[in-house]
Amino acid sequence: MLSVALRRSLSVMMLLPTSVALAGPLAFDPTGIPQFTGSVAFNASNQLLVDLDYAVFAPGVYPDDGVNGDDPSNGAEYVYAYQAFNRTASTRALTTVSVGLVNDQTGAHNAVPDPLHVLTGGVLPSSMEVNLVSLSVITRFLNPPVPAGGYSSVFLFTSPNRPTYMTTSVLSGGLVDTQMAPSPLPEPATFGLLALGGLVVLRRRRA
Amino acid sequence: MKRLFLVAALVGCLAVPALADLSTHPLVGAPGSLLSGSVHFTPIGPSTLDVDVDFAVWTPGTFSGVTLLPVPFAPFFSPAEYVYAYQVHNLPASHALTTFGIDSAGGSLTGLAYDPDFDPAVSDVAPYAGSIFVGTPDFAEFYFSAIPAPGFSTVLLMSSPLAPAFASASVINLGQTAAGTLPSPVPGPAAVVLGTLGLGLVGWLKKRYIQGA
Repeated sequence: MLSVALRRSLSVMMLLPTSVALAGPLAFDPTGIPQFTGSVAFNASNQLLVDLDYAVFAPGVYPDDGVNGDDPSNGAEYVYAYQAFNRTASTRALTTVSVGLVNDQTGAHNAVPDPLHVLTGGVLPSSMEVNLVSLSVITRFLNPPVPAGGYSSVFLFTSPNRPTYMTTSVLSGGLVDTQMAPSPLPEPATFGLLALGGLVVLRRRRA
Repeated sequence: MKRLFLVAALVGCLAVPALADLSTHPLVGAPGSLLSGSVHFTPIGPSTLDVDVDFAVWTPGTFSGVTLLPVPFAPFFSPAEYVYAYQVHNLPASHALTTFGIDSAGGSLTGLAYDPDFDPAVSDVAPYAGSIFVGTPDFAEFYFSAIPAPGFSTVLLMSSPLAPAFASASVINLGQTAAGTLPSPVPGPAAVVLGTLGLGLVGWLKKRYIQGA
């Protein structure tokens, strides 16, 4: 018997227009925030062709597939979920996906794969890391990489902050491409404090 | 107040060289190398990455490193083969990097290593891991916790039984990328001849099969 989530995904997939047939169910998840649910195509020299599906879920919304720990924040934070599809026309395996962070105040953490979310059977990441020096969430597929015609498992991280779009890259050896994908926006309080600090500096200079 | 500004300016001038690239760029014009030089990487899409990569290639048996260390998770390289050396220089206006990747120009890659002492500078960043991927073509990647901007990597080494041509190379982070072309192994003439003969044989067999049918 099909699970409710799978049936919902299949019914959504059947409604898709043919032009977006390469994307998986995550890109059409009706529970994701609409402006931040979709798919972006990467093309590095016509050799590495990757579709990165994404969906951002408001706190407490990320679907529970019946396995504990799908949402590492236990419903307390936004969930940023991604799934990479390496097209059959690719001549290369995919090794790395890097989601850029606006700054080190985005609150991104809890980077983990969720292999049982929606389209299962994908390649598991070898490692996931929130790197606050290079300002990126780096997901590596090394053993094995995602082959041409294959796809990754869903990989995600959480943040208390709502989404914006930020530079995101795929890499395979000497081939790379950059597009935009969802990433957390630092909380307004941080910007508020920065603005206040700036005002204080300006006032002191004038004095 | 004016005096304070002058002191600040003087301190600033003294501080700039400290922040600049302290590398001795040992690969550019490296003694005994078959070819050497430096390539500026071009940002891909919306990217602020600003990177130069120095390179040098040695023919089999002519490379003598200072301290050769294995790159975790990658096969160890062989100095008895062609040695391809790279050093990533992340320039001041850039952003911290985590990955350097390079394609072969069609030839096979046999191993990786790094030499933390080839460049006497002490602030060079060593890779924490690396990997060789067998494919069409083979490619290699070196992983860093972060090469700051400004900053530079240790000398990264790759071995292959095959002589060099230029192939794609890349760096990544902040979700951004930059790329260039660097020397990398290319299949030897014998391999190309064998490949052509193999293709010819397949074509001839197919033709015979079609005629037979």
